[in-house]
Amino acid sequence: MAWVKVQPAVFSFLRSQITGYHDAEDALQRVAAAVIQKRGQYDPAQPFIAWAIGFARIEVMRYRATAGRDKLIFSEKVVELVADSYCAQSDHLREMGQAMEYCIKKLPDRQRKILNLHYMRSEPGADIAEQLGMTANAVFVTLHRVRTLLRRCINAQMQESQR
Amino acid sequence: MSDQHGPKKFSELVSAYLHGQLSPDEAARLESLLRDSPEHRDRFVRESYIYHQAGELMRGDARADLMEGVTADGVVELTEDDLVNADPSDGSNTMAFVIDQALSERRKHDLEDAANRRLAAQQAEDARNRRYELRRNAAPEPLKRTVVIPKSFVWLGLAAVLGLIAWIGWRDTASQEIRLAEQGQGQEQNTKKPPVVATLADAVGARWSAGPNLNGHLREGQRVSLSEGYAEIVFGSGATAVIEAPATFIPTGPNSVRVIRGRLVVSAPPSAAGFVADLPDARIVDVGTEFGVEASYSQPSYVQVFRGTVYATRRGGGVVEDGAESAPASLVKGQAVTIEPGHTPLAELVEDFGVQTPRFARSLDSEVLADLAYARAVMADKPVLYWRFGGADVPNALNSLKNSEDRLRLSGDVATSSEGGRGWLEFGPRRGERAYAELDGPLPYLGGSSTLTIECWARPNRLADNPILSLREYGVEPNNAKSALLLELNSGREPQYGRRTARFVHRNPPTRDGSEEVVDTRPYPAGEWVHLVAVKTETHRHLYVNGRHVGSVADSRPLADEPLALILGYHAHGEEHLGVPLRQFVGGLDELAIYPTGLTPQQVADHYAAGAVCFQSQRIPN
Repeated sequence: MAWVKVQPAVFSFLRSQITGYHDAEDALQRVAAAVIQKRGQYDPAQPFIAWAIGFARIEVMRYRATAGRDKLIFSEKVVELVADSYCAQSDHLREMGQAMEYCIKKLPDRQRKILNLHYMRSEPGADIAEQLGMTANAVFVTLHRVRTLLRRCINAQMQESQR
Repeated sequence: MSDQHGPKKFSELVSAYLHGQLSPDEAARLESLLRDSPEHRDRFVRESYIYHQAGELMRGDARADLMEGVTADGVVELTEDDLVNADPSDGSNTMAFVIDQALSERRKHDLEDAANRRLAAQQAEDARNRRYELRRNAAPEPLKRTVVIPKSFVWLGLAAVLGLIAWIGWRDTASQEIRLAEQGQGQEQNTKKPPVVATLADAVGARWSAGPNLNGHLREGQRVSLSEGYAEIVFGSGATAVIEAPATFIPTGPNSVRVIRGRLVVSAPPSAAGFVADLPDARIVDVGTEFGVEASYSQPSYVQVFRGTVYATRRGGGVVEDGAESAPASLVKGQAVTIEPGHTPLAELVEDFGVQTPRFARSLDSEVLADLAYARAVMADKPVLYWRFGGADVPNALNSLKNSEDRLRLSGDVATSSEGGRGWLEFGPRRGERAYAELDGPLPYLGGSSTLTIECWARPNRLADNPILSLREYGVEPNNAKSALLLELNSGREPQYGRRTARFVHRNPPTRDGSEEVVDTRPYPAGEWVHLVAVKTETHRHLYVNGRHVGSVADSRPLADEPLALILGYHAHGEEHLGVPLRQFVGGLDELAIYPTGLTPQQVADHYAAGAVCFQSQRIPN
């Protein structure tokens, strides 16, 4: 089923445009429901990601219509362009995702702990900092560096797999 | 890359965006870069993907693809292999929700009903066939069959990993036995998964901080936390449990559960006789019944029996240790026990509970939950008298407050009625007969009080004078007794009184007439439930109809400080028409609460909002 392959990209697109994890997850569920309900309308000649992202665009626009202005960072034009980029890079993103599963296990314990606190508990940087004896800014920088490490690892893994 | 920010600056902008820390200026710059540069857009997408996918991986949210199981009619069929291979930490919540959505598009209720019936039948059969094996073997042989998923389970992915984190923090404070059980579970996961012993059957507004897996299955020893809403699970034995959040529990077998906190109502059919509920300070063993338990981290546990019999055994010091159990106490329908600390035998603590004490959700039926919500709204404001008129179970119209002996004597053609699980007091007098309910004894608690609230729902069946509640001199023949207080719905057609349709009268000292009254002049429809609230404060009287303040008058007199009789449905002073007293209420009366305080407009509005859900669909019974 194609959906499982594109779902991470669809969710990332939604997360990139919708503030709040649960709101994005709700939107993803509606997208998935639409994919099921309208699967008879899908044209196999077209990229599945583009078809699925189409439903996600609708969800983003629906969110934008109800969200406060303070939650809208980008214009509709940029939202559309970003969606197109997700579609264009879907194969690359999927390969990245596969590499990430390996790379994230290779992270040092402390960085994994920070990631864990950040994602699992959604704790503000200040709380994480207090737990780890760091400053909030240091936590932010560390998270940034963790992603840099991940990106490098992912790139290395992808190059390795292409040899 | 030729913009003024350079690659590093763009990376920082994206990072700040992902963390929700962009300033307005930075947001504008990022917008500009994304709009104008395809390269920046692609980088933004890759960075976002890494950020979000890292979160998903950390959550262990692999979101397995189970759409292959969606059949043409929208029912998801999973083989037992799917169930066995499904990991409790598998967070395929999205697909579960998809299944739910698909169901909702295709005669969802019919399918769910059928699925529930099949599930219940299947569980009962499984219980008969597999109970011995489930108890003897850690991991029974999987059955080659299909299971129907009746509803969705939302937030499971996050819940599973959060549950692990919560467990790490929790185990330091939980009882030793639970800790050992969890450690045993952890060790076992390295070798073989514990058996599935229960299945999620239904949920209302449920959010899990540690929930079932995609298939709704709960494994032996799996810690489950319901953070919001309600859920119903079916054990392998056929026993069901309705759980109300916040709740944390561990299915410890196909016929047993450990309740760490929260409220559960267990219904154990004969096939599940011997169901065990372990509480922090007691073990409950049923012999085919329906009972509710409430446990918390800091308060004594509470057990209440709705049907049948259960046995409760105290545990020494709250630590579950075989041999530390005191003599069991048996509880039957209508009894409850609070497991107070100490060595008092539980049998000495067993007491009767109020007939309709609104403590537990016994089903996930929407009307039941709405009824519970209303009762809790009332109880939160601490009435001293509260009659719910729960139907056939309350022939004496017992006060629903726990430990209260206040009873209403019913006289004439008045009786409790019920429909769809709701009960009320129905007044339907025949010719020449008065119908009323009278408190058996003088009104307690309120003598001389300066504040008072009377609240009820009334459904008048005729547009005449409908006295709802009156207080009058106690021990005096009705037609001679002076009136101290009257709450009444009127026809609004009496020229001498104008178009009053509801009124609230207070007299101190009691008299036959006089006193300025609070009135409502808006007509009310016969045959529909009306929410009436009469509030007496230290300075005023207020009248509310259907949650709306309709009038007030100054009144600084306290309630008469003498014995008063409380009468429902009849007022002594009035004429008769065609043999029926004109001052006779004809219709339904329900949820009568009397408070020693004056409810605020907000409290009244909240009560009305909660009650309207229950009453708006009820009209005159056929």
